Amino acid sequence: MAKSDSSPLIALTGVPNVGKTTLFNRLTGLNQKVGNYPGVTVDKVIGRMKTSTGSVDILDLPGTYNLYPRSEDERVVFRVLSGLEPGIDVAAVLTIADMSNPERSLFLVTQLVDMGYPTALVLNMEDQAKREGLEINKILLQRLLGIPVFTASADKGVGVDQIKKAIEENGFSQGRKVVDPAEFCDESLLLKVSGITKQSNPYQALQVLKFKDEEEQIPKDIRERLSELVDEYNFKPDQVQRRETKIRYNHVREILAKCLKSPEKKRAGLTRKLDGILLHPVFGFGIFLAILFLVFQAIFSWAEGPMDYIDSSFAFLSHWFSEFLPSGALTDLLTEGIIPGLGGIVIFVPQIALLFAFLSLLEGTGYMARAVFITDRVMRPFGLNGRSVVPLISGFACAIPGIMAARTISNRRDRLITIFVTPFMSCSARLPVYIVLVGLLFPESDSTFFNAKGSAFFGLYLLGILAALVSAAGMKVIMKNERSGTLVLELPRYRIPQLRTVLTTMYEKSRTFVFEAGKIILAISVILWVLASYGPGDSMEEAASTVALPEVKTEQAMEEYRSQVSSKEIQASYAGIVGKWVEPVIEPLGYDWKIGIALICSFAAREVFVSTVATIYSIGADSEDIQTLQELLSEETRDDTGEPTFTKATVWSLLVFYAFAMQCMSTIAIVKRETKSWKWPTIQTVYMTALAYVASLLVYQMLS
Amino acid sequence: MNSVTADTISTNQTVEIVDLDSNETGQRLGEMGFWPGKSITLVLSAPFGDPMAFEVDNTVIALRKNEARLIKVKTSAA
Repeated sequence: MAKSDSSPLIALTGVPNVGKTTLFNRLTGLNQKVGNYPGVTVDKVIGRMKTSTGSVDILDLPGTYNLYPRSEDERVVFRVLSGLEPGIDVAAVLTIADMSNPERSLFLVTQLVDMGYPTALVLNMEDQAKREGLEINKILLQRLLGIPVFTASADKGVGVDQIKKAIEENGFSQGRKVVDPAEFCDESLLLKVSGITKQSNPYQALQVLKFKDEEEQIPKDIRERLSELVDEYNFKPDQVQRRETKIRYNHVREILAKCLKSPEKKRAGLTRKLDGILLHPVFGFGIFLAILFLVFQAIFSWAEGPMDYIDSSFAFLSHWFSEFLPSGALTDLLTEGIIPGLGGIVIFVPQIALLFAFLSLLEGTGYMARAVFITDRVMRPFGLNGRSVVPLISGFACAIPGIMAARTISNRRDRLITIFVTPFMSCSARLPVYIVLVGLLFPESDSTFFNAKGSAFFGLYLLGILAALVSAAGMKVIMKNERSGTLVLELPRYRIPQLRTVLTTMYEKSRTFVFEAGKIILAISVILWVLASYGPGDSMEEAASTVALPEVKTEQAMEEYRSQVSSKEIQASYAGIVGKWVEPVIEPLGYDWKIGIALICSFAAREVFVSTVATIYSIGADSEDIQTLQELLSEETRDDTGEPTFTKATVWSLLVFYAFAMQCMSTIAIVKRETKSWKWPTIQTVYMTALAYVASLLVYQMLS
Repeated sequence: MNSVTADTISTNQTVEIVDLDSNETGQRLGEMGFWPGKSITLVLSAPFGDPMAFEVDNTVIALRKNEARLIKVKTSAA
């Protein structure tokens, strides 16, 4: 740590959609570290840039239009630049603006200059500005702001070297104050504030004073003393801010009038034409659905190959280690607990990488904002907004990338609701469970278009969507005290997406998942493995010894013997004990204790249900053959009553349970990581499981 | 002079902003460039007429109807 502390920290800021992250990636490469800011869910991304004499740390701040702490993103920027973020000491500010559209960037730039940090400005997208015939007098702008100004086209790497060099040589300078706080606020008040907060810059002091009540980072005693000052001077934050905005705007306009030469003709011709098609009141929706369908298909089917490959590689690895290492508890832990646990993490990577490749493409072209635009109205009654659509639809493939994608929702309430309900969407892990169970319900094959199996599947998917929307609407009512969101969304011009950005996003998201959520997943899978493979004392050996060794040791007889042994073993294991233990609870749902074991084990991942059931009912290690599995399951009878285990009522009850219950530790892990607390995953798990229980209970009692 | 709110103008109509609500959302709109004196054009409306996309400062910004209602404009024809 000592080494990283010695590197100076440069904050990278800018309004959204100006290529800030592209420049960040260009400057730091993959040398990035993701951390947390206390109290908010925004990631702290710091990258290190090598210089000839050492290194410089660059902090990639979220894109904001101003320095007022309203959304979580803005709060982070506000804190860091007001010196309220513990452990972050900003040495200089590098701010980036869209050269082809400087009007909307300059407000923030002038605020940054007034904050008093050594600053430099990058005018990005120079190529586009040139194409559109827009000219900026760089030298004059430099003089008016008093800070160095660079031009660049970061997506093509043009001008990046110059920026690197400036960072290396510390070519930042404190600008000329654009707006003197004395113009809109009592100077003696600011002096007194500075005395309390120890901020030498009057604009920083004013910022802290204005937002003291919204900022829990400010110590209580300081806040109290500031409150006294507010009363003494009759300070009205709203008024002051409005005055400031007005004055600042006039300054920005003056600066632009001096430096900017825009062409007469309209600039955004192509974008306008594309929007005419893509946002057409009728076709626009169709195009959006078609794109979603493509994305969904891709996550679903393209990921299948790599996932199978990962699956078999880890199986091979387990096998190889079990042959190679001496047998014993440690080897078992490695080959049956840790390696499959790791496999269970890595298996999600293809889906995550693919989804984020698409999202990054859609974001990069500028289409994402349009998707939000056309779906916003439809989602609003459910307490969601246009940005919730992508996470929810991705949830059909897998809730995990969907929940990660909810990060684009800036409103806290809408984001939490989206994260909360996404796991209701029927993910691909439910599919194997549905296939086996629906097959039990309708054993006859039926190839008509509207067959019973197909309808059952459709019904289950619909059930998930319904649960998601109803729960979202319910949460909207419960959380009505939270600040409700505004849309205020820029529709940026269409651009060609950058392959580099797409690849970096794929890598970053996959890495985040593996290293952040992976820890929790690995821990739980090891625990589940222990539960399923160990029993109290030598109960498991005893159980195994009750199975008689076949007299004629044919291969088939031995296989039969082995599968019966594993069946007895899992029944005698801790998982079996827990299964028996929960039997009274799940009895009303129509499940016996053996199904209980499967429920517990499939907490690792829903599809584990299939293989666990296969083991419990000693169907043999090769449960791939779904037909055999179904035949054998339908013949299964309960130990206590001798009646068939899988009656229609039980199977429907199980289907509904799997549709609703939070049977996925990976989802819990990612919700924990995304909300930065155990509160939300806990509420979510309890709610989903309770809903599943009640719904299954109703279904079973009605059908039996 | 006809003073109306921005959510009532029709597509491709260009108007001048005369006033802005002083609540927090209004402030935010101000920071995004919706400022008295500026011209804005309604470029597009989403299905159901909500949200609406306005051009201001060569940038297209989408607002919900109830956000556009905070902006008072005058139709330049008057």
